[in-house]
Amino acid sequence: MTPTAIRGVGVYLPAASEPVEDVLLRNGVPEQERRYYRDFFGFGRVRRDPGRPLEEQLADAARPLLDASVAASIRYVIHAPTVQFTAPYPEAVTARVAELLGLDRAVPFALSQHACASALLAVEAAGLLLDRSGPGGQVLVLAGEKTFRGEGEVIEGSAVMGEGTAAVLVGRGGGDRMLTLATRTLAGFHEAPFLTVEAERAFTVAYIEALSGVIRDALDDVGLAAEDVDHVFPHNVNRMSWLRVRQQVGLGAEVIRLGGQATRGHCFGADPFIAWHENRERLRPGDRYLLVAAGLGATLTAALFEHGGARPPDGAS
Amino acid sequence: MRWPLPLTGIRTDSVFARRPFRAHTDRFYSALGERYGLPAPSAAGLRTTFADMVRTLRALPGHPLHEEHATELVVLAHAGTDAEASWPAPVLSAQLPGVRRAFAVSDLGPVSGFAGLEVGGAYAAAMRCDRAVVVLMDQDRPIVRAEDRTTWATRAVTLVLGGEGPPLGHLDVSVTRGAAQTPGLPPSSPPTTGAWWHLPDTLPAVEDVVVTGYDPTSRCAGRCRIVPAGRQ
Repeated sequence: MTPTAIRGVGVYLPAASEPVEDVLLRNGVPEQERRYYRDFFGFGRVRRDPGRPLEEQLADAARPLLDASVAASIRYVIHAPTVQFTAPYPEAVTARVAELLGLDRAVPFALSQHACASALLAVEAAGLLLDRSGPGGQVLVLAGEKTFRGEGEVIEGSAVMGEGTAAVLVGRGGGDRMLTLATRTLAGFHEAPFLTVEAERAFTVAYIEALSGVIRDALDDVGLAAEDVDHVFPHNVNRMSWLRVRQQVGLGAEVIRLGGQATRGHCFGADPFIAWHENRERLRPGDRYLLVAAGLGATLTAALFEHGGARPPDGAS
Repeated sequence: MRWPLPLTGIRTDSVFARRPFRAHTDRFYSALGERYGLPAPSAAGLRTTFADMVRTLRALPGHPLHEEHATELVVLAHAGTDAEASWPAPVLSAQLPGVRRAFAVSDLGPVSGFAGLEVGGAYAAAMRCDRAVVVLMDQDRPIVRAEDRTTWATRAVTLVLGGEGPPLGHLDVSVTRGAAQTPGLPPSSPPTTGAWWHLPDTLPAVEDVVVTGYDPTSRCAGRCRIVPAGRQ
């Protein structure tokens, strides 16, 4: 079977940004806790575009990927939202994006329930759908959302949300080959983001082990070791937790492409793809990389890819 | 797309417990509705969530989700909004034995269930799974546009693919865009489960049974042909 592949990533980042301090103040987060978000979690500013509809922000991410021939090849448009509804019925954000982009033949729908990890699942689903829909087709996967007030702006003890969006062009063969996808759903955290204090503490403990575990699952599945990973494109939550995951898994010191916390916030499911896009010039033929995300609920996912082109022999520079 | 597993069970449920809204939900919905010029929704009244609904089904003796069979794939589908942002697929992932993938398909109106079956069929083939469960769900008070006159009800249709039990038929599922609505065909009511609600009364059948749906927003048409077992 021809492997699922990422053939391109487009990104839209709102020009306007807001200090996380303002967002945290607006949401009643006390000063002592605000310091954690700044000094330990690494958040600085969040990108926001309050007057702009979600569908326009998603379409802007996709436009650079679509010339006429690519547009004609799109069979499905899949939005992968964190929260499973983005508009009142019968509004349909995904159909509206397809319309804005002139994708008249593509079937638009949303794939959800893995929260911020849903976009990684959508890439996998895109490949499987293409495998059964004839040659030459491609799928457009969309990630990113509007920041609601309250719990839509701040995930307590974890992240401050931003409105960056990403579009991913998925095909079979070519591009960056998906080697595997591993996912785990933890029991006991289905009330998120409104967990009891006890459940919140339990999740903090379980999170590092589970995220490390799902990365190991992906590597074990294809017989690779932690040192074979050249890049990790992460979700932008608590920077400190990423350093602990790096130690637990044994990833290289410089492979985790952090930094988004400071400049754009946690942009729902778009984070790993925005990080990919930001670091695309660093990707060399044959590089292996992980796209990693964790979602409320709680589902954690690691997808392992190999960048297009032949990997140089070991020892070659 | 032909499902790789036969349909072995289908049932409908409409009795679900209700509870008051939690305070945060009103704030969440208000922010969503504001973008579409809607007034703040009333927090009064009792509702259920999709997570509560699947918990109810899981606890119901005789329901396919109650059984302790390994179920590698769970697909949920819904057209309307949830009463709260709940996580029904993770609930089932954690409670059912053997789940490898569980997710929901939405944002496609009455065709959401057809798209769920299409995605589910692709997964079932790739995973070579033995048993999958697909649950279509509606709720009676979703957030809707002011002019929407859709009739809603809280209910679920559960389809079992594979596993034990005699086959009721094989599913051929398709979703196509750009189709015209069949003249005279009433809209699916409520949107997700309407077209499927009476299907259990017609199976097993000696002839093909066809279920259709249409989403005017996306101009997508869904079609599911159930071919009797023994005929291909």
